Amino acid sequence: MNEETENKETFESTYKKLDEIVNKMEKESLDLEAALKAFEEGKKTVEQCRRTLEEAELKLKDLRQTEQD
Amino acid sequence: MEQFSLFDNQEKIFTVSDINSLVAGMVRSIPDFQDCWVAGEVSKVSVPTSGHCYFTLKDNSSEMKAVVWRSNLNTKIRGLLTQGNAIEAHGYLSVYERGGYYQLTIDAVRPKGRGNIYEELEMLRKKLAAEGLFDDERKRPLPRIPRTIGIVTSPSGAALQDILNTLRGRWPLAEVWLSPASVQGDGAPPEIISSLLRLYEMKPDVIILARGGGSAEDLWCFNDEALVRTVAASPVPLITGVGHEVDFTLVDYASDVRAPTPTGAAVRAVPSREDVLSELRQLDQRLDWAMDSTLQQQWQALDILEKRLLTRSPENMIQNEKRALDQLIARLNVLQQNYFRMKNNALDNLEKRLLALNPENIMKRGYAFVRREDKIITSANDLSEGERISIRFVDGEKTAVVE
Repeated sequence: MNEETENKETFESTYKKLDEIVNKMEKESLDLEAALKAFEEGKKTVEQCRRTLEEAELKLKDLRQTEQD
Repeated sequence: MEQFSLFDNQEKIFTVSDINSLVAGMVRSIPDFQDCWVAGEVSKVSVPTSGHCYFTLKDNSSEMKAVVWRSNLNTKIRGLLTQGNAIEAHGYLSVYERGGYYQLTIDAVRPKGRGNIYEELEMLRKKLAAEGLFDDERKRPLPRIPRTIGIVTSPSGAALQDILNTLRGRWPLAEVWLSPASVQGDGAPPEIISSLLRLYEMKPDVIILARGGGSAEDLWCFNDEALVRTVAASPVPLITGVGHEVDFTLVDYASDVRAPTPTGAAVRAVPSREDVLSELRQLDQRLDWAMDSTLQQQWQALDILEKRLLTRSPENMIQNEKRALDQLIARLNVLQQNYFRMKNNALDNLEKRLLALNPENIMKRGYAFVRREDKIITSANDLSEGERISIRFVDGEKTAVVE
């Protein structure tokens, strides 16, 4: 795994985090402070996911060339 | 006797046309002749201006005429029909009545032995299937959101461009690792295998093995046993997209998902960005609802607490004490009233009893009492003659003297 791959991990893990936040808010009755914190984090995560999706560009790596390097 | 027999024997005399027509009918009536493969060597090829191709098909001991009509004559067939070439030709036998010979009218030609290849392919398929290599239980689900996609295909083929364009349109977040390989010819299987093994070491989330459309021969390398086994042994889910919708090769059976085309394989490999964006919108909305609901719950809890607090406020406590005091006063008043009423009743009773005892009431009925010097006399023996007494009536008093 190289650095680029780790960057790519963020969409999936960010999306998963968002899903967990929403489920937690729906299922557990959080106190106000915890709920506000979760909500704020959720909103941030949604934006992060959207931005990642909108700005993404396909990265292509030719393994044959990599090996030659 | 001889003459007689000659005369008697009603000899049937055929015309040439009759014979040819009868033979033609007989040939037509044999089903095997109407749909058959004939193996032989090509000889005496001739393509006159009509465009039809006439040649002779022969083996070690005999030969027969054969024809391919211009409408069936493509470059592939024309290429196979060269002097000395061993072929298998498919078609039907018919009699050319005008010439009095029969010929094979051909609609398909393949190199000799290709029939065996199909049989061998079917045997290989059955063998690998018996080993369980194609079992449904072996098929793994594809990752929903792959981060890395390994691709094995020709670096110069249209298939690669189709795949990349599809990925760009649907899910440009993925990183593509191209492990190129020649996908045609005898050298292809080992090259594809080593390209796959290179990816197996790097373990992308999913692998696409693809090739654009082509003839059965072009795609044949995807039936290679070692390649099929390598595909089955993939450590990550593998999608095949080889040829077109109708083409099936053995790697398609061994892969986790068989897509009809390279483009189809790319579609299966990734989610669509629009779908995920719409899921994000839903999650966003659920986030809002959950927050609203939490706030509402908190407001309600606050309301309840406030009410409980107010009941314990000093004003409220004074009010409560005052209410208790009022109640005590009210009870006291009731008790007081009851007491007076009770005493009044007792007084009334006493008065009634007193009134009943008033002597006047008796005197009214005719009684009188006797006094002597203000002392009431209750016995006759107490009075002596000549004593003055007073007699008290209800309405007055008279004096008298005792005799």
